[in-house]
Amino acid sequence: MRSLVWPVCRGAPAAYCAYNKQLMDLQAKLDKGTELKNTGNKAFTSNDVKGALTNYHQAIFYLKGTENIQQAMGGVSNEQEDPVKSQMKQVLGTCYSNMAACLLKEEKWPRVIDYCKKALEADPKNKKAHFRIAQAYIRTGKLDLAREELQDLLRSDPDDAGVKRELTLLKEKDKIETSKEKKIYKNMFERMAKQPDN
Amino acid sequence: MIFPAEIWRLIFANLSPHSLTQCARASKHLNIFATYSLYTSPVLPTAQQFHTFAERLTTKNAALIEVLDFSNTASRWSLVYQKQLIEIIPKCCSIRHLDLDICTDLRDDGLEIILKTIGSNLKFLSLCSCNRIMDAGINSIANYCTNLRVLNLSGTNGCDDVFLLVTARNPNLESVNIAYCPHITEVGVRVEESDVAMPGPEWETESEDEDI
Amino acid sequence: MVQLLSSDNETFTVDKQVAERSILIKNMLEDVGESDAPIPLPNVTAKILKKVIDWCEHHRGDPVSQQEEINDRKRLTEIDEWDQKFMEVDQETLFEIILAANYLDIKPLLDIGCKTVANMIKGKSPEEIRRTFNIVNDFTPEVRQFGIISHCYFLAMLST
Repeated sequence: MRSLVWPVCRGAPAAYCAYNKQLMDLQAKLDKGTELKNTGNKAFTSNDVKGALTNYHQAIFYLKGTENIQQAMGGVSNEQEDPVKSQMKQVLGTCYSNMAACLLKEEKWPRVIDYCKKALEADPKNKKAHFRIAQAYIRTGKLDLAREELQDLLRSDPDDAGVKRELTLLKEKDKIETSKEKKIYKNMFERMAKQPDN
Repeated sequence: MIFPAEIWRLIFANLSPHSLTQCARASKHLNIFATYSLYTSPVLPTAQQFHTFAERLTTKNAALIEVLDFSNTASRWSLVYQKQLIEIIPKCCSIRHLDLDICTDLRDDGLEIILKTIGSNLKFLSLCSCNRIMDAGINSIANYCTNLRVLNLSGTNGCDDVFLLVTARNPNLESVNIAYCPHITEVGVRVEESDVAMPGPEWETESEDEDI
Repeated sequence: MVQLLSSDNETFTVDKQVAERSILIKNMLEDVGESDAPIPLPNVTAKILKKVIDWCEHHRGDPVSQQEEINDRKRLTEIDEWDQKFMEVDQETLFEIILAANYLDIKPLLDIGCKTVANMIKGKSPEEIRRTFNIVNDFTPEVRQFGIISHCYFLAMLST
């Protein structure tokens, strides 16, 4: 019966054995999580969005929380020294990023933003997550945030067609917003001009 | 230790600075988490304590500060100096809540220096009764504080209707306090109340003339 | 109804409303819909899952609060009577409940757990804190002798 927590023991050997056992369990979870992620990927490529999401969610059940135990046991552990932990984080990030892709297809924009943020916590350099979050930002009116993301992406990949396409869409939306504002400014200043001076 | 960092932080958020000090003395591991919590939102009961804090603050610890709230600091109107604020606040790269209530030594040039570096991170900014803040200071807010949720400018002198128009563009801004701002008129208040993104019938005009 | 499977293979059947107190489970049900298959929770044992479900049952009607981005520094460490009794368990169970609440993303339960631990720390000296949590004093003897200045902001010298 596995217990989630190993209280720090004064006797070093007991703690060491417990730590080792913990590590084995973690490897098994990493393997299971990776397997589920791969199944999810296959489902996604065959257009089975629900199937993909089910597998990704289940992968997260295995991968989430366990990286914390690793950190907890090791004290202030350095990720670079701990390959199991960093791998788990990476697979977790991929799952979140792929779930965002699934939800993009279903047009659930706020959820896309949520999952992309989680993916970027795990891997700030995940370009697909940056791109997907930009798409969701455009479609939820957060144009400034979208612009930041797309411009960063364009700097690293100046020829990316997808990024260029989204930038065009962004410009169109910008134009609509600006013309609305111009009308308001115009009316605003006309009304101010009509006000008597105090 | 048994908990990951984020849970220690949640636990420590419930503790007073004194209790945090005791935790910090328990072990190296707890010291790291307790220090983080101590600096996230430092308690500054008097201006004198703030002076000592400012003198001793390292760049490394400044980066931990998320909330800097002077509203309960005794004698801040005469003893919290612009010079110290300019020295510390730009180093606080994680800061998101800045309450400079009645820090009357702060002027436009100081505010510009501060907001240039950290303005875009701020979600809450209060300059209540900072009566030396004029047009230039207000412009800094409009230019740099693009992610504000809450803004308190009551008692400042530079805020006018045009500024309200600019801030109304910010979709994140939930609350603006403009009490006792002498240059705000009814026109500005109406703009603030209306939803800029979707103008109502009173704003629509006949012509489609785009150029002002 | 939703079925939850603990790491040691025990199944618990709960109302969807109760299960959705866990944002982790709620997100899954929203994205994927309900199914007959039990949801596997490989990081929670039956003993702890039962406690968590009990808490969620009792709090099923509570409003789900919005995420607070600006910290409320004046946090109260008062916990209501039912929750206090709920947390009267041995230390290991308490810590496991906290970790499970973190894993399942049940913020109110996590908050109460953390407040309980905070209350265990209040008023204690460093040595008492070490004894409570079974921590070794790993400061070097030089630092111990030097003594530690009480003003909290000078602790920077210890952490570098």
